[in-house]
Amino acid sequence: MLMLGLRLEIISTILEYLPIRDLCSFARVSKQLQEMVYDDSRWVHKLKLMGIWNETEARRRFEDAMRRRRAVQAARAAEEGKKALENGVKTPNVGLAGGSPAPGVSRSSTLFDAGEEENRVQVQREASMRRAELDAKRRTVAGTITEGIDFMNPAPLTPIDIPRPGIADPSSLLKVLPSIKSIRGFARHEFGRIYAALGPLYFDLAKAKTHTDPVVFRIYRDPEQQAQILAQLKVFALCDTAHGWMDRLERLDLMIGIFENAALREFEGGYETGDTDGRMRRYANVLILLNGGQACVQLFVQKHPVMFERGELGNPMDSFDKPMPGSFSLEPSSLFFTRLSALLHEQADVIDRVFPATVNVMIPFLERVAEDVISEFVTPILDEAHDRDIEQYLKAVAGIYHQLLEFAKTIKATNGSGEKFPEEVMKIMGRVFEAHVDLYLQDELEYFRKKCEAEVDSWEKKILEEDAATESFFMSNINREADKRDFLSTFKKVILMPVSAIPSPFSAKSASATETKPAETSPDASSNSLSVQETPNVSRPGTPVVPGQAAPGPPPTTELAAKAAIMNSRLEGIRSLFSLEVALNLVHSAKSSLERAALFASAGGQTGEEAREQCEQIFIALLQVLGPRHVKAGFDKAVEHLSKYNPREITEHSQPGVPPLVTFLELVNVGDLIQQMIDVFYEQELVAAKLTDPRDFLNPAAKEKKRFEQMLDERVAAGLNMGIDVLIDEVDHLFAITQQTTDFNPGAIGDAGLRDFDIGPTKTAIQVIEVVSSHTKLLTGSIDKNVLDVFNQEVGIRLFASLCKHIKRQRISVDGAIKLISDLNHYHAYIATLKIKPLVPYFNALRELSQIYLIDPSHAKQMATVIADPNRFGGIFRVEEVYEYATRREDWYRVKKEVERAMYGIGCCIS
Amino acid sequence: MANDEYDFLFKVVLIGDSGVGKSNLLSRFTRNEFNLDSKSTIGVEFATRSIQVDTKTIKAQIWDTAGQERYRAITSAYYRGAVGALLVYDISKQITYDNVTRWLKELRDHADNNIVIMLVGNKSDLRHLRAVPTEDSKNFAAENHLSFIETSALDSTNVELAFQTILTEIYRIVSSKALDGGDQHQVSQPGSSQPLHITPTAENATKDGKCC
Repeated sequence: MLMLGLRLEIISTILEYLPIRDLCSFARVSKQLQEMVYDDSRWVHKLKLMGIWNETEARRRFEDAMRRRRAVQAARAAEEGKKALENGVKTPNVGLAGGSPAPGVSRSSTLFDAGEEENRVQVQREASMRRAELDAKRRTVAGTITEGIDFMNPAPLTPIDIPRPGIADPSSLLKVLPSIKSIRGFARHEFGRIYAALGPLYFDLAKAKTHTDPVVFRIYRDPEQQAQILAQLKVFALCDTAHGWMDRLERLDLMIGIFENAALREFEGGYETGDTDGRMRRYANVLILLNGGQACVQLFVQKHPVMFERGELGNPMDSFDKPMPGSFSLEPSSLFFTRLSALLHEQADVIDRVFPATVNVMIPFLERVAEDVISEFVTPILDEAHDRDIEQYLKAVAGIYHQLLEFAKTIKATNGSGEKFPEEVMKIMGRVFEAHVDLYLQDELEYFRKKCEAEVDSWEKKILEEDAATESFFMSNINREADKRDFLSTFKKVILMPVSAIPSPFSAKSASATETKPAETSPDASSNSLSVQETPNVSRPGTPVVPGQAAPGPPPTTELAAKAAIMNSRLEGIRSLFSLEVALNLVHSAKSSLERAALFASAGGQTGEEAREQCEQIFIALLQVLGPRHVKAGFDKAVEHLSKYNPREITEHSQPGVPPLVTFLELVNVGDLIQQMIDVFYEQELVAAKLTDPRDFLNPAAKEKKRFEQMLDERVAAGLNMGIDVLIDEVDHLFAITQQTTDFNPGAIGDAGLRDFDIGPTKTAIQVIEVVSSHTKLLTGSIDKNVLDVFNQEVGIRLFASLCKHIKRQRISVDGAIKLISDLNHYHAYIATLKIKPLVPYFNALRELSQIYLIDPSHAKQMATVIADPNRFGGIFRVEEVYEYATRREDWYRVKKEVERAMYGIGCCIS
Repeated sequence: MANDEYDFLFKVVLIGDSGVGKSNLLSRFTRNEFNLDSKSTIGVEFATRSIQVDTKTIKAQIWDTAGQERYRAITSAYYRGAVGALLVYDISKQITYDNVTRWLKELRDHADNNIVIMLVGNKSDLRHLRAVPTEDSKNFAAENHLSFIETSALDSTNVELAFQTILTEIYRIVSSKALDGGDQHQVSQPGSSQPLHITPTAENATKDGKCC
């Protein structure tokens, strides 16, 4: 009763640090202390320490039990209630000291249990008596065990109502921990089972001086069993919170250590003698039972001969200078991976035989191989390649990485590898390259950028050196639309066949051979002429089917090159501005760079993400070099030429075109071609390869592409604007210099006999139409239909305005009217071919207008009505304007009076 | 342009209601073209073609006029100097035939009195839609001293023949008149070259100018 002087919490805390035996004695002191000791949460806590308490299971069981119990409780309610009251009176301190609600709750259940416990203890005592007899019998069998069990006997309150198979049978003891159930209110009983089974062994072990002493090693002779029980003891030690636990734990660890070492030695012995199925297998199992077997896995991995014999798999320096000095070959590394793969295949078998399926040995093994063997092989190659030549380095990285991936695919999974084995293998292999990827991606982009710039630079230099005088070369007007489509479809075909067209890093060819491929194929195939007969308006995705080409053509690379050469020769005129070939080369190198970088994108994870971003960067770099550097500069130059053009300075007008405008329009064509090329490239290489998301409008690649297109459109628009001015300037110039006064006024010269009477448009009209139509035709198919329509409409309106001005400068006789009408009919016919509705009324009005010159002077009066008829000209000309035109009649001063009189109603006299 | 030599140049006008196929007759004759969805002619269009009659080369300058032209001042300009006229109607449209009389009157009023007129029933391919019996037209032509032919610009039936016939007729008249040698007629045809001689009845031009 002295104890009650202490606060209950303090007592409870003290209890936590008491050994189990003392707890039992303590419980005997009083009912109240017994309750405290028996408190279920105390034992749950101990089970939790060992990590074998399952809270969800407990809750489920508790709910089940509560349901059952409530039924029983109802029956006994009166009787139990009385008893409880009694207890409550007897222990007033409990009520007072119940600081937290939790003890109160548990107390009520303990109270109830305590009542039952009384009865049960009685039963148990009898049972334990019986068991003691049994134990006594067994004592003869296993001497010291009983000592431990005897500890338990003086504590009859320990729950031993559940039969203890552990003691009856040493082998069933091995499974005591897994058999523990999580039941609320029975934690003490469960703990008792564990304690009874492992306690004696534990304390015995703790006292042992040498490794031969402990009972454990005497009961169990089998190393597997020993391992099992030691593993359980290790768990059991976790709940040992009593004084001296450190010493005990230390001793236990020592014993386990000794045991583990012995087992490892056996395992190692088996390893060295190659006794795979015997000792290795057995002791691997033992060690796994003991503590998961990490030690033997480590040993297995560390001691593996492949770590020491990696030199035999291949020498990294073999990759260099082998076929010839300075070259680089992927063959040695391929050989290396083949050998390694064979070796790993063998090892997978060994692992399967040695280790059970519960342990994943292959992954640690592979990690080690990757780190020690592959990295050691790859890194020197890459470092060396990097030092030698960037391009070699880039090819080496991509090539070896691909080999590595291929190699990873060949690795055989073992029984214990689990389902995610392939992913894990990829991850491990990815780690090998992690260190290189960043540098590689950066170098790739830089290399690509440099190469592009160099290409453009060299081209620019070449152009500067060449004489730019031949700049204006009028293109033969053969079916350019079909040509372009043909070219594009070939381009598409090449893009679609990546491996054959662009040197893949994995074709085992030597790098130096593949490297020059795109460059040398471009010019060589110009002999490959092709006849394009496709109708321009049939839009067909495939290549045009030309009779001669029905048979499978030459390999795409050369076919593309051939077409590029043909296009180039046609585009001679603009070669000083920008070159399709350069664009093609740029796209080619972008593709090879992309293909290499894309390998890493498939690796997934952070590296993959980075690689993907880098791929987009490459694309952006391509656009930036191609766009602002190459195309834009060309356009700017062309527009500049245009703006400087002055038709009056050019004496030679034999060509039916304005040279700078023709150049510009050709440029529009090529620009459009390049844009479509980029588009195909983007679709095929980036979108189809899932390197970029076309729906993401914030995506830098998509944005850059849009910017490129916008740039192109802007240049085209600016150029067209300028182009219209230049064109109309040229037309005005033609009017001014070629139109003869006699054209519309044949009588002016006075010699009627020499009059060349032939109807039909004048030379001027024919020439003007030729100039205008040759330019508008150039644009067909190269720019957007809407833009083209706007352009044509603008040209039409400006032509109309020029014509009006021109007519107002002429003198037109009645005879000359026929010429004028012919001219205007000619213009009208041309405008009709443009098929632009809004233009038609203007030229209709002109035709109507021309009639007034046809009217005989004797009809002057009616001429006034014609002039004043507003409907006649569809609202294009006002009456005053028509009047103004009428004044251009050659006989105007003769008819003026009459006309004006009729128009304004001034006087009326009969002549 | 004028490099092709010719002996005679005749101006021939195509007249008739709007939509009877004048422009297509012309294009069939001069360019052997036919346009199904041609628009109505604005003002006037010209075309030339040379044919051989006997040993002479005759150049026909054909004026294709707008059927809907209302101003006499302009239509009379069309007729000025014309030596032949093809008066076209549509055999599938009665009204165009009915208007032939009106067109004839206009010709008599504005054109040279000696103008050779040929009545042409176009669109003979539209047999199932025929509204004007061939007999009626034939009779009408005979009454008015016109030649008559049915043509189809679409399938080019008789187109060549029609022009051949009228040009030959003009040539006969002109060559017989040429024997008279009277060049007193004020040639109002633009660019009339010396071979063209039509017996003058100059009253029409002056008469028109005076009417108020």
